[in-house]
Amino acid sequence: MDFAIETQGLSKVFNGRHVLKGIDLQVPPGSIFGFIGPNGAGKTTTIRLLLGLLQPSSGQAKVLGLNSQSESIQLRSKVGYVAEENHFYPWMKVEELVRFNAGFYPRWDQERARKLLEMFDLQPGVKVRELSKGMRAQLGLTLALAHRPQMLILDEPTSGLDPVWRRKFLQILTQETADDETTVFFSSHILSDVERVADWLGILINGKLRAMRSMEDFKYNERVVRVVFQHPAPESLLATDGIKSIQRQGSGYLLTITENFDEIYRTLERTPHFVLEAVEQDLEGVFLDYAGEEENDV
Amino acid sequence: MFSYSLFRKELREHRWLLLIGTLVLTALGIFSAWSFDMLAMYGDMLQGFMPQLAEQFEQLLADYNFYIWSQLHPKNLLQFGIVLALILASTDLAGEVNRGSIQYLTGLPISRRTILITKSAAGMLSLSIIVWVSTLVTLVTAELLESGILWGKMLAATALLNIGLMAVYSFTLIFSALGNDAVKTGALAAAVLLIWSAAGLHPTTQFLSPFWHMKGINWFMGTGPFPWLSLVGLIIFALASLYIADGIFSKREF
Repeated sequence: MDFAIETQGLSKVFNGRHVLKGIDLQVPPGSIFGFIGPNGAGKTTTIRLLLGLLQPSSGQAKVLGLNSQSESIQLRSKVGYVAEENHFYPWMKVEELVRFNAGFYPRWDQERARKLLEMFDLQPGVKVRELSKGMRAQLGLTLALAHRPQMLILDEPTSGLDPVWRRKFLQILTQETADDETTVFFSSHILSDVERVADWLGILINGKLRAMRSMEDFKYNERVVRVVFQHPAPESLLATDGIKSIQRQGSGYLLTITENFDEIYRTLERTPHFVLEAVEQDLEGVFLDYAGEEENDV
Repeated sequence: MFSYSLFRKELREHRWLLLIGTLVLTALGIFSAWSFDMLAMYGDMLQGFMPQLAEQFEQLLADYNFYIWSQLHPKNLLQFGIVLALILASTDLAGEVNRGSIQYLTGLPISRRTILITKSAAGMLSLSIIVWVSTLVTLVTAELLESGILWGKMLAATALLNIGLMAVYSFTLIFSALGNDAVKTGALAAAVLLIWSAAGLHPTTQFLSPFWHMKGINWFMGTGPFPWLSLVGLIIFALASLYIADGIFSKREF
């Protein structure tokens, strides 16, 4: 399978600090890939490495089959990028910025730009400095979509926006990318946004990619099981692959399972027990599990 | 290697500097041309009580072309031009870092070299417009007030100075490619140039100063040939500075 994004051992060191520690990303084409992690996890660094705006300390990245270093300009002409802080030229009017951007993309679609401005209710004659943060984010998305990119890379696009702006932003994002199967890679620490739109998920914590799988897989396999055994818990069972963590609560156990859920659950069913129940986790629960595990590792 | 969209944006950003620079230098040039007769009158008046100053006036006013050149080039254009070159170059790259727009600009599908070349072209064009418009207006005024302007010599001197200012602009770009703040970058480049200009104060070291080469004073006063070596040297200096600035800017991470 040709992935839309593929990295191998991608690392970045800034002033002796390992910001990114050899990540191997694989983003399926046509997916909406949510890249989550706490602040300072290395999400922005990953994105800037993918776009060829930073040089990796080691490893490599391919985006749409193009090398992010040697073919970065070609790559950026095919990718729509929305940065976390949209530092456009404040003295330009919205229409001037659109015209300015159009000069860099051969596939620029002025009609689509006009339509998106209308959808976001952005007035062409307004100066960029007069736009709110939410409006600037929407202008960023307009500019990123107007050249009909094969992929969108968004860095914390909804950060700092109120719930109304966020909902509208995500709604237009999914609507506009659904038609032509554009791959969307977006980083966020707002888990509800990711849960709402993403179909794939990567969890980056402290520069390490802790998990990467489809959202469906996450929801199904990433579960917590509460079990109270009739006899002392069999050691071999608790050491089964796929059980990420074990918390003891009196005579019971809370098992956090990340893989092989069906198999583990069947084994638990066969083991004499008083209580056995599986709790489906939301994304926040999954994320906190990984974040907590990382803290314990440290 | 060149972006018209970026070029238009750069010229638009320079428009106030272009307008004010052209107006100020043109006004100063017209005043210089107009002041020739007035200074001649004061020179006569000074004869009685300040004979030394009167003698200097006489020397200055002995040749109309030399007077116009001395007022226009070493004074107005050189000094203001250097300040304008410093402002343009320091804001070109460090200014983008300063206001955060460098991340947006470098995220567009153009190479760093294209950004540098396009910005340099716009900066140098702006400088040239200021230099040439103000010079031509001054020369036309001077010709109208007192005919006998040596057009060829004046225009050649202007070309030499213009290339010198481009070299100063290119040199400042090196600092701009390194800096994060336009004001500090400009101040640092100005400090380095000021120290460098000290070489021009002594006859044995003046060939080390780029400003001395920009003036071509010996040639203009008729004591030497046209300074081809200075011209070529300034072009090489400008190109080398651009090359260094490109190397720094291309490798820099934002």
